[in-house]
Amino acid sequence: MKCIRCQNDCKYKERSNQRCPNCNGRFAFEPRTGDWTTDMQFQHAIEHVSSQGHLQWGVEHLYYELCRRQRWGPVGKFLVGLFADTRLARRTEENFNTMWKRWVDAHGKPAGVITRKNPLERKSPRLEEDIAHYSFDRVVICDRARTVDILLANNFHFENNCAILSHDGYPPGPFNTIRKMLLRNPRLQVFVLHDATPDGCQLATRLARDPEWFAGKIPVVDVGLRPGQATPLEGLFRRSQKRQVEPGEGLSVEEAKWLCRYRLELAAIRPEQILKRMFRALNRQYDPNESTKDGTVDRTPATDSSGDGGWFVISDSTSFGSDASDSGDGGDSFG
Amino acid sequence: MSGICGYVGSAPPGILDAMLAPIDYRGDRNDLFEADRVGLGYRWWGGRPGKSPRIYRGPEVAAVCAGTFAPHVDSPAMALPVLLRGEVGGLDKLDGAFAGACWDGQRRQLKLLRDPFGVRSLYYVWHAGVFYFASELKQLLAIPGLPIALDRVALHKFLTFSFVPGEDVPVVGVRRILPGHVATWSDGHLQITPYAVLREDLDPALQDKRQAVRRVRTLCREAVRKRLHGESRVGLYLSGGLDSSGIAVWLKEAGAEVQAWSLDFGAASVEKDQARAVADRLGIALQFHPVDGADVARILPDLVWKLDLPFGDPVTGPQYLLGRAARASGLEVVFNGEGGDQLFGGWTNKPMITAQLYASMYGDDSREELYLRSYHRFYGLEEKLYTPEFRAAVGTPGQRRAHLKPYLESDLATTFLNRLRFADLALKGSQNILPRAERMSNGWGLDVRVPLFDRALATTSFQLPPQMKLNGACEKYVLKLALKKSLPPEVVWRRKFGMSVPITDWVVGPLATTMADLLGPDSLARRGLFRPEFVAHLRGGGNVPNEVRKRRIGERLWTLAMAEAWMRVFIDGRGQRPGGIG
Repeated sequence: MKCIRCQNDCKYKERSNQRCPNCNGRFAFEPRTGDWTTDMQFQHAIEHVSSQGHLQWGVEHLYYELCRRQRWGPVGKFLVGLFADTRLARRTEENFNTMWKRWVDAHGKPAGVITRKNPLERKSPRLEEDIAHYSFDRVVICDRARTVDILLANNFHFENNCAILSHDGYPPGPFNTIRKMLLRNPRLQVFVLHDATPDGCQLATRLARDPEWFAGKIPVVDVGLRPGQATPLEGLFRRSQKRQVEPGEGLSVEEAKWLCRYRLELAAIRPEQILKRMFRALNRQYDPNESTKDGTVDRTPATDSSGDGGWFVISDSTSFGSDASDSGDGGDSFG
Repeated sequence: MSGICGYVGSAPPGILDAMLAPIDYRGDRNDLFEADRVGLGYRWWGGRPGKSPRIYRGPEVAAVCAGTFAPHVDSPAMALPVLLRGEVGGLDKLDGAFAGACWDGQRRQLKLLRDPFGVRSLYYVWHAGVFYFASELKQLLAIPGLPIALDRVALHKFLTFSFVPGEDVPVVGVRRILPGHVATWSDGHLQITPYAVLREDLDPALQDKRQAVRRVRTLCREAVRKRLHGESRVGLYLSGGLDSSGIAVWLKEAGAEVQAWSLDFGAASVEKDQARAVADRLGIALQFHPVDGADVARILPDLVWKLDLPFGDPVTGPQYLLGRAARASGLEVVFNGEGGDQLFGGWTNKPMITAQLYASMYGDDSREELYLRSYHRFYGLEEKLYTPEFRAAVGTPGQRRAHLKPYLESDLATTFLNRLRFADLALKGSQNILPRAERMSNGWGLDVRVPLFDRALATTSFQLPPQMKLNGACEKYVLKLALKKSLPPEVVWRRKFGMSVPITDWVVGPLATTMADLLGPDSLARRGLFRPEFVAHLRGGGNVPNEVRKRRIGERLWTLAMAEAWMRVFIDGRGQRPGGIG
């Protein structure tokens, strides 16, 4: 087994104290005593999920990266073939927290892991009053805070003049100010990014209708993960916590049926893929006056009444599927 | 066009001729003034209105001035001593594109002066007890025996900003005078003071939209008229964006005969239709000039030499080619629309506003650091790009932030937008956009006029409520309102796309051989500044952390290539004109 510090390759009997005989560095894992990965394999997973140290990432992305690697191993393939569902993800999750702790103990926290600053320690920047009087070209609204983190920590907001918020108030400091600022741009582009969950898949429709958000004023483009895009990620699904999911509110009958059994987190997609796909979506021209285009961009009225001039939710699945070949080891693209 | 030089002290004989020779393209005649241990030199094109016809020689006073005042005077050189004495309004309203020097023989005092926004440059150096100054760096490098060594800290700053900021010049010992400043040499000492300072002074009357629009429109018209010196025909670089289209409107209103020029990047062009629509609407002639990477590869050594300082924006190659074509058509004057973003709040505000709202969520992001990142060059990538030796030579942290702090935390404004305007004007405008535009035009004998960098207009822009500049997410709002009746709506209201030089396609295509020469392993090893593996990653089409935009690859590679090319011409070649290009 190779040491990731000095690259020395040693035999089991030479490392019986779990230390490299060459540099005395500690190993985090030992396959001979039941671990399913080596330090080198874990390191490769970190490099892949961080795009060779280029991107900020969350621990949950590493978890799914390891799931993916286990999935494509011989046992994983067998399990996926047999069950095609949640068992692999569940089994790995049980071990992941322990593995992560052992890795950090042996090697320290890897560079690039997103760490939010404690709000109490965070020095609030001195903001001039006029800042709140402006607006943004676009906003991405997410169904969970950690998706917001991935975009912000990788400077997506700065590169794209894009506000980024969760629908339920994250980040808490600037949330209210930013939400008010959104309404100062009548040509705002709104994108919704979410997990494949019932709430996530209905978020765009709800925001498009909600008087607190964009009701009747601005079209909303749904660029999140939906059941129809889940197939390449088979084996990374989780068991749904809801037995009953009603179609409607932007959910089709087929989607509701799938969501009764499973859910799929956006974290199953590597950060690089998420960023590329979001960038592509932001630069795509969506025409709310066109109806269904080539089966990949769909618009549905966000209001129940017809012909009242209400705005639309536009579902885009193409932006995510077109760079599937970029996914390196494969299997983390969707669409 | 035109350029100057001079010295105080016991300079070697023939030094003025030696210092004018490198800028022969700035004119067709020379004038020299020499007295007791002092000399002034002037090169200019004869017969052009608004230019000094010679060095001014008065009782105990001699003055030289390159460029023109706005409004123009017959001889800026003759006017300079009067203005410097504080007469006829002194320097309070002095405007234009000029750099001058005035020698007072009685006091043995030399004053040097640059225009308010920095269209014209002025460098200086001390050598062997003599003080020298000149319009271009290459003139100073012609001083016999002057040691020429790379200033690595200035190069380090260039790699962040894509231009060299502040008074720095990447040759050890050479400095430059900042725009809007007067430098006084006396008894061997140099004292530099500003004469043109902008400050926020919000005018309640301009809260009224109609008044604000009327004031801005009037001043823009006036700024254009002030820069017309009686030429029968003028050129205009028309991109199809709002600012250059506005200049087209006001030139037409002033009765000028306009020949518009626009760059054509083939399929990569983004504003050709808009340029055509503007020309059609206003009834002006428009010529597209096709440019591709192979054209740029051919002119690269001369481009670098004429730029004088390193500039990392890939627009300089196309600007060089456009200037050559415009001059070949017989034009002597060309207008452009630079300055609208800096004065009225272009798109660069928005990322800074967004970043400011989210600052310090994961790390410590100072305002200055956010601004430095917005240049998208090598800030934060030093460990990946620099060799350990270069890293060790660039000095202590904070030197780059120090250029920004006086603006981004200025006491002369209370609003975020106007603090950003200060920084944009002083850095992007005065030290990047204007000097490179001047060199790419005057390199061909074309006098460049930049009406939006107008002192009265700039003063008013800081009297406007910030929301008249950035209204919600609508940039340059007041300028759009001022032009909405004169231009097609798609020109006024469309989102800005910017100049789209297809640089990434070029550096991996027609410029690949040039990149291999400048940034190949042998070249990098000889220079010892950059890590070959990182440069190879970029040359292979790989991007940098957190970056998904393809164009950033080309922009970064071009910046590195310009750094190396500049060092070859100005450090290795001592500023001599590279061979092979006439």
